[in-house]
Amino acid sequence: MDLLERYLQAVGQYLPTETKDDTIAELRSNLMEQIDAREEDLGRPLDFAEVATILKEHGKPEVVALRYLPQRSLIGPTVFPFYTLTLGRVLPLVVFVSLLAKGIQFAASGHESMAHALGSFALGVWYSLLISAAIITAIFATIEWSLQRGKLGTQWNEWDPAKLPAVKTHAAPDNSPKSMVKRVIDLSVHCLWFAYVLWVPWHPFWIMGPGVFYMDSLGVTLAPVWHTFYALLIVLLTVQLVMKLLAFVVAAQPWMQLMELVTDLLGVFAIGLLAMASAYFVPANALADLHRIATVNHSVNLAFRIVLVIVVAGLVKDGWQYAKRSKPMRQLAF
Amino acid sequence: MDATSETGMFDSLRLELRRGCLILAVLAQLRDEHYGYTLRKALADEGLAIEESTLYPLLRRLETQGLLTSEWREEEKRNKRFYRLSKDGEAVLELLLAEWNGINESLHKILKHEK
Repeated sequence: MDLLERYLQAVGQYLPTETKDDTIAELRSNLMEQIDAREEDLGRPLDFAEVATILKEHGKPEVVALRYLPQRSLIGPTVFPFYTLTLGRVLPLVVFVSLLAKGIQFAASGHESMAHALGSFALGVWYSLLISAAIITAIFATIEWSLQRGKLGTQWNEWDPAKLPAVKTHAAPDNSPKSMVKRVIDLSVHCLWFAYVLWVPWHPFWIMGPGVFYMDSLGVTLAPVWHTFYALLIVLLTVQLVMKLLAFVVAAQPWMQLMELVTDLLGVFAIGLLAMASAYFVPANALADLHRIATVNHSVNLAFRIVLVIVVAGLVKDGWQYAKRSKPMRQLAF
Repeated sequence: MDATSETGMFDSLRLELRRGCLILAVLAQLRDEHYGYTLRKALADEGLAIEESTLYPLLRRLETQGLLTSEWREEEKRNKRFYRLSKDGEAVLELLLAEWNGINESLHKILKHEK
């Protein structure tokens, strides 16, 4: 019976002290009864392997002991749906607030690189998500604990159907292609805009107005970053032109939204390039006021960083909406 | 649905279906005094096999809920814990049996409609 005692000792390790002896005594009595019955059937004492088989059938010591413990769940089935609903609502909000906070910090710092800002956001957002999930879990575990002990009464479950909000009428998303007239106007306006962008480098007055003369008086000229930005702008406008032409092809319609997202991404990249630059105006001659140029460059940089935060937030919103629309309804169903 | 997941789902539903029935069977069987081992045998003899690791903790839980009473007594030179239905247990068993009979009748009617 050494094996039986070893088994009971293993079970006892996981039992609460106050009930341990009683439970072990009962288990011993029942298992010995089972062993006796088996011995009576066979007409001989059981060997080691046969006792081991009975104990194995009875269950792993930890599992057997756990069944004697009061049934507890951190969050029970009544509260669990509210718990998952809250997590689903709060965690995306945490990501959005973290992104916004990081964006403001990035825009205000003026010297932090984009890669560093993205890296610190990616690391920080996990921490925020973990802390938020832990807090929500703790709150719901407390609610569960209170419910189990009847401390919340029945008021939490009381509701009045008459107070339910009126049915919302969702306007169906307008996925229909634009009319032919609209598409022609759209293409014409874009061509005019493209032609203007191609023409303006040789006629800077048409974009900067009297600012051209002011720049000359200050002895400054545009920094090389504007050349790169201009090249990117031409690429962007070319892609948009292709899209405007594709708008006349029926087969391309399902891809239009995705292509719009891609052009938005190109736009963000172009703004990002400007936000990352440190110099927008450089001295054109030895008479230029370097201090004033540095102040202007800093102000322009700050403005571009703020613009970048706004367009990135817009892109994230558009991307989220596109992903939601692309998701099949079956996946959205509970 | 593949065969493995179908079997898994069936096992889970079967377990859910049996859970309530086992409590009813244990309470009904304990109208007569039993200790763990003989109770398990009696249930198995009636066609309701139940694992020891499920039955013994269940007896403790029902006792904690006041539905069973127990006492240690020596029988055949061995100390055994005997369980019996308490007064409260008898009342609860009556209610549960009425509920069970109601469910049984309804199910029979529903299944008859299907035929």
